[in-house]
Amino acid sequence: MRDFFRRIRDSVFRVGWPEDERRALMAMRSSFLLHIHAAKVRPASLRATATWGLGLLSLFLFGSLVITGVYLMFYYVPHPDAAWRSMKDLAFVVPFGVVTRNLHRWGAHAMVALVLLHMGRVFLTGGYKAPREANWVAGVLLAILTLGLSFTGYLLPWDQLAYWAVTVGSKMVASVPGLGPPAALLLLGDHTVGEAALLRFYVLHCVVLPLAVAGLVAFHLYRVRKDGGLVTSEHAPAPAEGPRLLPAWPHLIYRELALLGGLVVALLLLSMVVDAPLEPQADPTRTPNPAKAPWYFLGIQELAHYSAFWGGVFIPAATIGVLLVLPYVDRHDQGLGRYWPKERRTANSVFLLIAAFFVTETVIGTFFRGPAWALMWWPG
Amino acid sequence: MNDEPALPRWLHVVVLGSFFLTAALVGVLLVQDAARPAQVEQRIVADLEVVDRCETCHDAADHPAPWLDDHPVERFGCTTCHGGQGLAVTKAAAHEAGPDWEHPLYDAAEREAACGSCHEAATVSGAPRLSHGRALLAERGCAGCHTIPGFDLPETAPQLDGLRDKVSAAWVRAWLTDPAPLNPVHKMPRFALTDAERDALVAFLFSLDGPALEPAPAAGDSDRGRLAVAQRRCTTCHRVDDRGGDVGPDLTLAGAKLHPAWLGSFLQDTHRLRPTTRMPGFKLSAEEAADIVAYAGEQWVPDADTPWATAADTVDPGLAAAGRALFVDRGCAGCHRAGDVPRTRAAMALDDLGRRHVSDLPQAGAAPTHDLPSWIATKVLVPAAFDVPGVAAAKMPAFTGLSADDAFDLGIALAALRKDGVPGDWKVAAPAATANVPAGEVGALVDRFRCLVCHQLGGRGGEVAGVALDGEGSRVRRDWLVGFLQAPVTIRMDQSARMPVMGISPAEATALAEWIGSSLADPAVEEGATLGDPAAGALAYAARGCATCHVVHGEGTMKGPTLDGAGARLDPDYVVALLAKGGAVVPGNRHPEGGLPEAEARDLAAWIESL
Amino acid sequence: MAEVGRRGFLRYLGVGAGVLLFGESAWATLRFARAPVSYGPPSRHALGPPGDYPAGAPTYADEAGVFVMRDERGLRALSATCTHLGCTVRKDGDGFLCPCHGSRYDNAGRVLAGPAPRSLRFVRLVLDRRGRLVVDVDAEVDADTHLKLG
Repeated sequence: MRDFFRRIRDSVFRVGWPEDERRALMAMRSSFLLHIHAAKVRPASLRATATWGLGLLSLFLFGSLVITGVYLMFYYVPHPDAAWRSMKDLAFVVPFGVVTRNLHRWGAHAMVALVLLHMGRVFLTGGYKAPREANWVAGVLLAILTLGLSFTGYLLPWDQLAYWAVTVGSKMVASVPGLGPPAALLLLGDHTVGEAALLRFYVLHCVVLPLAVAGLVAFHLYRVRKDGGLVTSEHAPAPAEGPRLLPAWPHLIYRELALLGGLVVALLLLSMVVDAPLEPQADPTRTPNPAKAPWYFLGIQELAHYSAFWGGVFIPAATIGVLLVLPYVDRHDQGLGRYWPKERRTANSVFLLIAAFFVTETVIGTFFRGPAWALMWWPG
Repeated sequence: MNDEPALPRWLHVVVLGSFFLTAALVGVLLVQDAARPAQVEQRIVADLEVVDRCETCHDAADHPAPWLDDHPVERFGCTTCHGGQGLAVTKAAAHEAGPDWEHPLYDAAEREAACGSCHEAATVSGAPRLSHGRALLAERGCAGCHTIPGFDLPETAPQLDGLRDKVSAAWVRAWLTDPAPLNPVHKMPRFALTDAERDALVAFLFSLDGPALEPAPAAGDSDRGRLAVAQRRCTTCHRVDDRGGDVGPDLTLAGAKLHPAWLGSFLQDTHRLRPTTRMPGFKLSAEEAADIVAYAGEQWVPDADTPWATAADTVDPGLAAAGRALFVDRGCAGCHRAGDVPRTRAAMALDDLGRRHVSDLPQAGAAPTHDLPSWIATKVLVPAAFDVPGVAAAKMPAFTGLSADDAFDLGIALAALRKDGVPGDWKVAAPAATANVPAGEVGALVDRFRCLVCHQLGGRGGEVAGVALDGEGSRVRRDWLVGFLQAPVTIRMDQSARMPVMGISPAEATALAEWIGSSLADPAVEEGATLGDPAAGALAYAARGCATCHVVHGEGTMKGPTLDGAGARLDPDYVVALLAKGGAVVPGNRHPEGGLPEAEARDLAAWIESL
Repeated sequence: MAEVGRRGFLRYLGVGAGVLLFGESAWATLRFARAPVSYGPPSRHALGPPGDYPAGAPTYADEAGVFVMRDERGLRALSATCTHLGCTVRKDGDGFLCPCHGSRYDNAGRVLAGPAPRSLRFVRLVLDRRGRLVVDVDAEVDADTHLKLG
C-alpha cells in the first residue's frame, strides 16, 4: 500500500525533496514550475536590490487576482439590475464574500502600482537595451494591459464610484480627435455607460485581457532567461569569494517563497481590516461632484483639466509612444545594471523628472481636487 | 559537501512564519464565518425590485396594526413601506445610512410619503399627514407654478382684468407687500418685491380693461343694506370681524377696499364682471346693491386710517411693459387670469421630487436636514433659505399662515412624487370623481349658483354644506325642494354654514328640483315602502331617545336636523331606509349605525310623515 | 526521529502548514460556494385561507406545485412532482398522470403504473398566525398527516 502511494508520488515529483545540490539541480530542470529558472543563478541576482522583487510580486498578484476573480465570478451577474446587488450578496450572505472582494480590489491596486514601479526599475538600470528591446516592449504592453484590466474591473461593482469613473474615463477616450469617438463606441457598445458597456467590460476583464496578460507574461519570462537573466546581475562584477554560481534551489526559490508568503500575509491582513469601497448603486441621473476616474488615471484627468487634447490625449499617447520606441532609439550601451551610473545620469534624470511630474499630477488630482475640480486642501 | 553558503536563517523564519501566519489568518476568517446566521430569510418582489432579508431577524406575523392584511408581505416586501437596506442582514447596515446606502429606515412621515407613491387619492386612510399635505397643495395653489401630477392650474385666484375699477393702486401695493393684514383668510403667498417692481406690476394690471361698470347707483340706505347682508347670508362664505366662512375673501375692510361703483356692478351681475369667481351669480336689483354698498361704506371700513387708504394713488403707465414681464416671470399667471397673458407655470416641475436625495440639495445654515419632507418644509417656510450669495435669489414666494406642521405635511405629499416610483398597475388611482351634471339649462344653473363650491357630488365639490347632493333626490320631496331652493330655511341648527339666498326664481328652482329628484336617487333607498302606525311611531320616538338629537314641537336638542315640518320635507321611503338600515346608508350621515326592526322603522316613518 | 534532523523537522513543519492551509482553503471554498440564500423559488408558499380549498376533487396550487386535498380529517398537500424524474404530474381521471414517462398514480398518490419508484410525496401544510395556509414543498410528511381545522 505504502509502495502504491510512493509510486503515485514519484510519478508526479520525479526527484523528491532536494537534499543535496545534485538533486536540487535535477529538480530545477525537471519540475514544470521550477524550470522557469536556470538551475544555477548568479549571487548578484539574489540581492534584494537587484529587482526589489517587483516583477515577481506583480506576477504573484496576477495569480492571486485570477484565483479571487474566479471565486467572485460565481456570484457576480454582469447586468445593471443585478451587478450592485451581487456586491451586497457578497457583503451580506456569501461566506468570505467580503474578504474575497477585498483581496481582489486591493490586489488590483497593488498590481498597478507594482507594475509601474517595476517598469521604473528596469528603465533606471537600462534593462530596455539590447538584447532586451523586445522584452521591454512586452513589458510596456503588459503595463497597459494591467491598466486595462484594472479599468475594466472598476466598472463591475456598478456603484456610483464605478459608473462615473468609467464615464469620465470613456469621455477622455472619446475626446481624441478622429479616432476617439468610434473607439469609445467600440468600448462601450453604446453612447453611454450602460448594459452593453457592463457586459463588454465583464468579458474583457474576465476573459480577453487575462488571456492576453498570461500569454505575454509567458513570453516576458521566457525572454528574461533567453536575454541573459537580470540586467543587474549580468553586469555585476563577479563575487570576490565564494562560488560564481549558486543552485537556484534553495537560494532563489526560498527567497521567492518568502516574497510570496510576505505578500499573501500583507494582502490578507489588509483585506481583513480595510473593506473595499462601495458606493450607492449607479444612478445615471446623479453625477457626483467631482466625478473622478480611477486613481491611476487621475494624473491624466488633471492634465486634461488644463487641455483636453494636449493633456488628456497628446501627453499620454506620446509617453506610451516614446516608451515603445525607446529601446530602438537609445543605443548607448554604457552603465547598464546600475541605478545611478555616471553614463546614464541624464537619461535617468529625465525619466525621474517625468515620473515625478506624473506622480505630482496624480497626487493633485486624487487629493487636492474638490467639487467642480477646484483646488482644495486635504482631506476634502 | 560543497562550499556554497548556507541559506540564511531568517529566510527559513520568513517562509515558515508566513505559511503559519497565513494559516492563522484564514483560521480567524473561519471562526468569524461560523458566527454568521445559518439561514437568511429572503423576500423577493420582482415588480418593485425589492429583495428584502428583514425576516432573517423580524417575523412579519408580529407586525402591528392591520396594514399587513391589505399589504401582505409576500406581495409588498418590507422596504416598500419601511425603507432601509433590504439586502442587509445586520442591524446597522439594514437600518442606518452608510457610505453605500444613503437613506436610513423611514420615519413615520416618510412612511406616509411611501403610501403616497402608490395611493393617488387626495385622502388616504391611515395617512393623515399625507392627506393633509395634498389638501394644502390644492388650497395653496402650488400647481399654479409647479407641475404636480393630479393637480390642474388653480382657478381660485381672482381674474385681474379691470382691476383699476375695483381697487386703488395704493391698495394693490399694500396687498403685494403683505396680504395678511388685508385679508386674514388670504391664499396668496407673499412675494419678495421691491417698490419699483410693485409699481411696475400695478402699472401693468391697471392697464387691463375690464367689463364696463353699471352706472353709479343712487345713494342707498345702509340699514336696508345690513338687512340684505343678513338675509342673503353673505357670512356663510365671507368673514367679517372674525366671524363667518372662509370660502371668499374677508369683508371686514371691503368698504374701504372696493370702489362703490364696482361693488354695485358686481352685486348686480356677479359673473359678468368675474366669470370664474367661486361666488354664485347674484343678480341683485340696483336698489339692493346700492343699499349693500352704502352699508359696506359705512361699516366695512378700518377704524383708523391705514396707509393704503391715504397713500397717493399714482400709476405710471410707462411701466406697464416691465410689469407684464414681471407678472410672467414671477408666475402670477399660474393662478390669475389677466388680459391675454398665457397661463403658464413659472417654476420647476415637482413630479419627480421624491427621487431627489437631500444630500444632493443645497443645505441651509448650520442645521442640515436629512429627510426630504423636512427639506421641503424649510423651502416652503423660508424660500430664500437655500439662496447662495452671487446666484439669483429664489423667486418662490413665502406662504404665510402655514405652521411648521403644515409645511412638513406638504413635504410629505411632495416627497411621494416619483416618476419611476412603482409600476403603473401598482398605483391605486383616486376614485373617479364624476360630478354628473347635465349640460343645458340645468348645467348652466348648477354653474351659475356654484352649487359644487359648497356641496359634494360624485366625489367632487366643496365641503361647506353638510349635505351632499348624491342621493338627495331620494331623501326629500320635490315640492319642498322647489320651495327650499327659493327661500332656504335652516334645518340643521348645529351647522354654521347657511345656504345663501341667491334669488333662485320659481322656474329655476323647479328645473333644479326636477333634476335632483330624477337623477340623484340613492340606490339604497327602496321605493314604495308601506308606512306603519303613527301612534306606535310616536311611542318609539320617545322610547328610542330620538330627542337627544332632534327637535319636535320645539322640544329636544339641535344636534340633528329639526323634525318639525319633516312630513312635508322628507321622502318616507328614505326615512324607512335610514331607520331600518342605519346611518351608514348615507355617506357622512351622523345617524347611529345599526338599524331598527323594519316594522318599528315603518311606524316611526308614519309618525314623522304626520309632523 | 533522530535521523530527521533540524532541516527535516523544519521541512515537515512547512509541509504541515501547507496541508493545514490547503484544508482551510478547501473548507472555506465549500462554505463560499454555498451561500445561505438563493434567488430561486422559495420552498415555502402561502396558499391563502383554507376556505379556498373545498372538499372533493383536489385543488391545484400552481405557484407551489401541490394539490391541496380536503377530507373529513382535514387538509393535506400532495406534491405534484413526479418521483421518477421530477416532471409535474397532472390530474387524470381519478388519479394523476406524469406526462414525461407515463407514470400513473391513484388519487392518494400511490403508483399504479410506469417507471415511478414510489408514491407522490405529501408535504407539510400549516396555518400561519394570520390564519393562512402555508406549504413547505421541501418538507415531506406521512400520507396520513392531516392539518386539522378547528
